[in-house]
Amino acid sequence: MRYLCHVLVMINIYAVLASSLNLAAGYAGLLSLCHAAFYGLGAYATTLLIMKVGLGFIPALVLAMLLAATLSLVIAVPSLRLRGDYFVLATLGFQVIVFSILYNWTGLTRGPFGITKIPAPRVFGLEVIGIFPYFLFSGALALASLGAIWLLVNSPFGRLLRAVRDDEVAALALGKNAPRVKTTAFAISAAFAAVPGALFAGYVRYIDPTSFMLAEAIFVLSIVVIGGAGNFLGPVAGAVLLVVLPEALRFLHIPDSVAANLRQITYGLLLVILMRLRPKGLLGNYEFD
Amino acid sequence: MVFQLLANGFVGGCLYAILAVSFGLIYNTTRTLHIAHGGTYTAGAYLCYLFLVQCDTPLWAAAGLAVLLSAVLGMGMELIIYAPLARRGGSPLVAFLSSLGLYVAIVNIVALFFGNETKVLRPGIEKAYHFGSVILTSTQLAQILVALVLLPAFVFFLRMTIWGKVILAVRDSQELASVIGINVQYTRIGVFALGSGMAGLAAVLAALNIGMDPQAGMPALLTAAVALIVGGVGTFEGPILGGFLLGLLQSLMVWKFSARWTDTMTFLVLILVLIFRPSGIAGRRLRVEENEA
Amino acid sequence: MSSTDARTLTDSVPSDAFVLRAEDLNAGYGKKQVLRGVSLQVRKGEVVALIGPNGAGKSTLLKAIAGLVRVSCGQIFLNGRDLTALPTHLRARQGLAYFMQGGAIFPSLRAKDHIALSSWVTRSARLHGRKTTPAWPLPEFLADRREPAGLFSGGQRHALALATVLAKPPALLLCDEPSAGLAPAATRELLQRLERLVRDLHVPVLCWVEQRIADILPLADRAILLRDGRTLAETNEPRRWLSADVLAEITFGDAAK
Repeated sequence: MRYLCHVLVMINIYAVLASSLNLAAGYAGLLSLCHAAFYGLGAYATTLLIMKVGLGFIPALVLAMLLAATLSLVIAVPSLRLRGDYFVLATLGFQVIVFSILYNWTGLTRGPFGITKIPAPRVFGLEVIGIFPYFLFSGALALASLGAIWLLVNSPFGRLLRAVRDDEVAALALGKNAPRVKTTAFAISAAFAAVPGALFAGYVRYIDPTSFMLAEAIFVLSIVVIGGAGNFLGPVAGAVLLVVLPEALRFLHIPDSVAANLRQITYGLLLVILMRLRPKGLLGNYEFD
Repeated sequence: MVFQLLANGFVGGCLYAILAVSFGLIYNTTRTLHIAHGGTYTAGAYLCYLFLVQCDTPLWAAAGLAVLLSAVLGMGMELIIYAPLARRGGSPLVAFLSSLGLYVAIVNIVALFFGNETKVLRPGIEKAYHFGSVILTSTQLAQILVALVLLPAFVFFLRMTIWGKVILAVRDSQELASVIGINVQYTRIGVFALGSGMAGLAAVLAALNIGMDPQAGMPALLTAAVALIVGGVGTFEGPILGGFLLGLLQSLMVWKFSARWTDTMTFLVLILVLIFRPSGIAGRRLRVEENEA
Repeated sequence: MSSTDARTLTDSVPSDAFVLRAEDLNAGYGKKQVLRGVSLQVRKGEVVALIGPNGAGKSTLLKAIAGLVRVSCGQIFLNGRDLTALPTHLRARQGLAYFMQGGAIFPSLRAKDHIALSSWVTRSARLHGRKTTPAWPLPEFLADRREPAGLFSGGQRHALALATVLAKPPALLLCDEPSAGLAPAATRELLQRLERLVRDLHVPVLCWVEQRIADILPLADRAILLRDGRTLAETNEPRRWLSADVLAEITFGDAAK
């Protein structure tokens, strides 16, 4: 039962993270390789605000979301008015940099040693301790986030986003400011990527930079691609699949040192094969065109 | 002091210039954002290690084999992954995702076989040479020499030989090139071979100088990509300029602050260039159509 | 005249006199079908003009022959050789010259490089063991210019494009709106040179013209009218089509539907 709750918490976390990426990549057509950076920013910012400034969980989370959204502008504004390749490279650079900062700014983040003894989240005076309460807590936050994303995607803004994604020239002809629309979508996507970061920090109660590296960004991208981009449930399905599968394989007793590499190799090959055979993924309706 | 700084920057610049030129060659000609180039880079270094340390071949032979096999790896990626996708008319993002998957797979296969820690290609103290106030090791000198031979040779090849003109033609217009009889597919394969071989060479040089680890491919590739953008996307010689500039900037960075912040600095350079001059130093003013996604 | 009449025009001529023979071509872009069973033949040394309203498939037909558009059904023969399965660059090496609309050139290369590249690729020197004279030599003033062709003016690009495509005497020249973007005087000169090409070197030319019908039709030996991806009419007296009625049919064909 405990184990099941643990898996469900991880699913909650990755479902929100993947959905946030889906908002950028699937609905806006922005291939982002830095969502692990926003995830990490969410984790570190929330934690530091709680531990050093004494804020409650929710206020800290909100500020972290704002931070992520603001930093996303550094990438988006210069590169979105240019060819798509520039944006992808910029997100890659951002991912590498955030990791570098988290790893090297030891005064703030304690670098590779990480931050330990993170307190459990305190919401409305209650502390969320224990796996089952945390499952409920993460589930609630996940539902709220997914609900917000769902509302956004089905709003006029969501339709505008899809229109810009599918035919930017036509949208421009209609007077829509395509780069501005995409920038907004990317900022919102970054903000929602911070939420699972805070959840992760409050759950494991220890964070270090290695959880937020490029490999993680590629993992989240794999979830979106495999589950299906441009579809609301796609990333959720992908999260379920990619969280459960490695857990199931745990029973095969592969040595840990090898397991990490093997997992990565599997994700990589899966991406290649999927792009060849079914670029839309399991449920998706957008082929990154 | 200043001269040592400049020398170190120049040495680093040699490496970045080679890598950036190779990346630019592939990107300009085939329009593929070949992120797996970082995987070729990683594989090249470890292939050299394999031959040198585990098969006891002399360095020049190990390096040569590594370069050759890197070229083959690059050709393989074009033949098996990119060309079929291009034929199907898929979007470049699909190709990019495949490239990303390839990068992850290659880098982790290397890690699986060779371990995740940093390795040295040739252990022991390097012989140091003094040039006035500047000290350079033998591997650094080798790096400079290779770059001073390779880069001009590449430019000569591109501008003076007929095959170079074929590449320029394909870069300008694949359609027109095929209409006058150029086999665009062969040209692409050749470009991948040449670019990947160069990446393998750069990897061997880097491994000799600073060691290697499976995760070093991505930062190296990023620096090469930034060098390409700084020098001028769409040009073949621009990345040389960009590479040396970045090498110099990095050297300054290490001196003023610390080596830990070089990646951050590279990204800041990228953002600044994107804001103020996306076409790069040598690049043509990007036409509006080219700017659109 | 219907398409059956088209066949009777050339039926009696032995098939090896045909440089180009296209049979029942169906082609399109993705799901959109443009050509619906077009057949045509071009003989050695003749100029064939292709005309028709917008969207008739003229450009697509030329592209299909050149290999830039895939043919879903039908066959193409050049001097008896089946080109249908060959990719574009191999068709070029078989002697197919395709002048793309607007006069495409390589902006990075110099004028001389264009010609050198075109000759080298079709291996004319190697095949014949000697330098073959280009069918359309590059004007001196262009050949000597050292800057990349991207800096040329429109007319200069045009001249270069034609010279590039004709760096070696071709078996067949396909022209996609050859006079587009040219001033009337330049057009007349172009057409005269095309005619000399045909008469002196016996290079058959297949032309699609839309605006300058009045200029090309007198030069053509035959004219084909395409509409909706089908051959609507054909004549070996193209001057007859200079009449206002036929021109109206072409120009206002869409509105008349």
